[in-house]
Amino acid sequence: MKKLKKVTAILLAITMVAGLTACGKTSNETTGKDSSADTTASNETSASSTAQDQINLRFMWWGGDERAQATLEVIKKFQEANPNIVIEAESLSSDGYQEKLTTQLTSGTAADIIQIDPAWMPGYVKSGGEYFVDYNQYSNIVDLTTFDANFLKNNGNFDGSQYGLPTGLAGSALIYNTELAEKIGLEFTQDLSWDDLIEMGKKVQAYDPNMYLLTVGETLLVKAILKPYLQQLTGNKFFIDETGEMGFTQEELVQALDYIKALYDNNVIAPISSIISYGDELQNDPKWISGDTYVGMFCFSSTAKVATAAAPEQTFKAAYLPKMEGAKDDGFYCNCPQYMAVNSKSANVEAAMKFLEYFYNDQEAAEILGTVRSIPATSVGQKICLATGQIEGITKDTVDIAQQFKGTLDLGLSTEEEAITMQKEMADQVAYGVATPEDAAANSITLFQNYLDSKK
Amino acid sequence: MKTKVREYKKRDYMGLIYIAPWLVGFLLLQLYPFIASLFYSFTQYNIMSEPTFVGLTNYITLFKVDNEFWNSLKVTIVYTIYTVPGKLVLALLVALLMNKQMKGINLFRTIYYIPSLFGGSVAVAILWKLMFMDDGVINALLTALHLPQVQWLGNPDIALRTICMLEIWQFGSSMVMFLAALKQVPQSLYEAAQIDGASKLRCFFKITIPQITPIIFFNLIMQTINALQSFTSAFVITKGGPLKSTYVLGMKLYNEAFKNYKLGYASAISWVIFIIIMIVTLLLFRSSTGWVYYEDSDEF
Repeated sequence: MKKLKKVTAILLAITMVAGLTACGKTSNETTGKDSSADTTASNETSASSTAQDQINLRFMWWGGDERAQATLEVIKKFQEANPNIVIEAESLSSDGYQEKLTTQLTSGTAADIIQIDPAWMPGYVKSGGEYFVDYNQYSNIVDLTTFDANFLKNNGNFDGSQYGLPTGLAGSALIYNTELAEKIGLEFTQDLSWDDLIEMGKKVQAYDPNMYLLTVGETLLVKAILKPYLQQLTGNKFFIDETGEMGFTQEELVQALDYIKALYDNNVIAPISSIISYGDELQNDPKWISGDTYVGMFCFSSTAKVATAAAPEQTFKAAYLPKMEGAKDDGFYCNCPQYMAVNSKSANVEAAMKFLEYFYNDQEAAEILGTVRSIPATSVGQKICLATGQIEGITKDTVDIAQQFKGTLDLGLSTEEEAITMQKEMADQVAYGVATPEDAAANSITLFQNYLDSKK
Repeated sequence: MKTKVREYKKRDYMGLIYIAPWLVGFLLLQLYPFIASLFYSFTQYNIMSEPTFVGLTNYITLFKVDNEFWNSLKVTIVYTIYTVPGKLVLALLVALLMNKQMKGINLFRTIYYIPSLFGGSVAVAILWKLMFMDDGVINALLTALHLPQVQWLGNPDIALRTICMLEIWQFGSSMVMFLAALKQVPQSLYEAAQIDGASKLRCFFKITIPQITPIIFFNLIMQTINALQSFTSAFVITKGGPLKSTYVLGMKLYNEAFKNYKLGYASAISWVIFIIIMIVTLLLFRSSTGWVYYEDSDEF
């Protein structure tokens, strides 16, 4: 009995200790961060005494093998030139990246150098967490003059603070199989309109009922059709961040959804149920690879090369992006596929900046990186890639076209994950034909309003 | 006497040390999150700022405003209704086959158990996805047999059944337990019944089934809990789509927490799932007095 009591007492004591540890969340969180900083600091002190100013940095990014190899090579070259800096590479998949990053940022354990999707940055900045370093304060280390000033202002700049540096130039893209287009007699003109797409789709169906003008995934249905169409129609962003209101009326939203319905009703776009299991990687669809079913595809300029490489026996061209007559806004724009940000909790911000200077502005690094993050955003990168013949083909053509569109950059409330999910669900309902454009618009407007209210 | 007490004491500590890995894991990774989630369910918490107390708002929103919750609950119930009986019947049938004395039976038992070793793993879910994609092996087989292709993952009416098939396929652990139970049924009962002229089918329903009801009950409870908590297959294979047809409660919880960063709301969902599981389990226990046969209690 005594023994049992003792065991119970010990168990209770452990539970209490664990409970106290658990309950003291706020203080622990703070001390946790401090202690990790202390540890880093003390590690640094001890490191400096053993191996002259040894600095450890962590660099996290997502991307495929080609990007990973080039980035690792750049890290290796940088370390050779800077033997006191060691960069630990964290090459991840895009799947689950944001979830991991958010958890790490809030717990103070994120990497020193972070690749970030431009769509996520406004949410992080707005949360007031001050997670990132303003590059303007380190312009003596990272040369920002190699970026186009206006491009820099539109990409990664928040109220004058440059929290992100764009890695390249990118935008929505429309690519097509030249051989099929010629066979069917399709012409992708410079003044391509949304209605032209419908007419061209009908022509394709008349040629062969098993063929479609376009294959479009869930994400592109929203990003390359719904939102640009609405933006051209209204002249507003999807959600107006300044006022926290929708940038369209219910009628305008119905009009945009009607257009999507027409695309599916006329078989201009392949049925969504047949491509949904490929997610956004439509290049894996055997019908795309065989080149006998789809004439074209909406994609991003950063993925155009992947899409065309999947069908090596076909030849592709970049088409002009559609625009409605009397458009109030271009709808499409050229921005960047990712930012590079430096963690404000980093104990080695200067070393991180030194690496990024090499990453963005060194000729050797530019040559190694090439276009693995789309066409480089710096004049140094572009010059090197042009000289080495890396800027050519479909990526260049799609970026060139995207640069001709000067639509209002839509980043903020409408690009947060929750908003994107709602937009996709709305478009899906119409695409699957389970809701009329009127019903889908009415339901979604209620959801959008709830979302916007929750953000106030 | 003192020495003996000291020995006991030493042994107690040793015991604690032996179970420490489990104990620490339990306290920090299960008990603490369990209690913390209850607290967070009454807060608005977006992970990037401090939680603010909002009372019952999350629960009220969940039941009164959020239609998606009711859809997820419906999907989860349908998933449970499909998978639990399906898995139990299949496991019992295979266990009956595996109970036969034949050459190489151990190899067959191992083969049938293998899917359960991968239970709930991401790799199997990815494999399943590749098999059931439009250009996957299943559709290739259908084409070879001159049958029409099926959009296993793209059609909202079929996607949930595809996910259910994966769950049912992983019947191995239930099968092993049924097999053990079948081995325990006294042969004398069958012999007596045969002498009285009972058919094999009658023996199965009147002897086998009543004798293994405790294991049927155990499997029923475990598989029901498992089904109500399902997440991996829907997350990996369909991401809850198409049109939320596979959007089980586990998926909703994950998306609210890690996509929308509504951790307080997600905590409320987790507690609702917990309460649903608790009620279902209690109901099953209640019902067990009517149909589960325990040899030592001498009554149903």
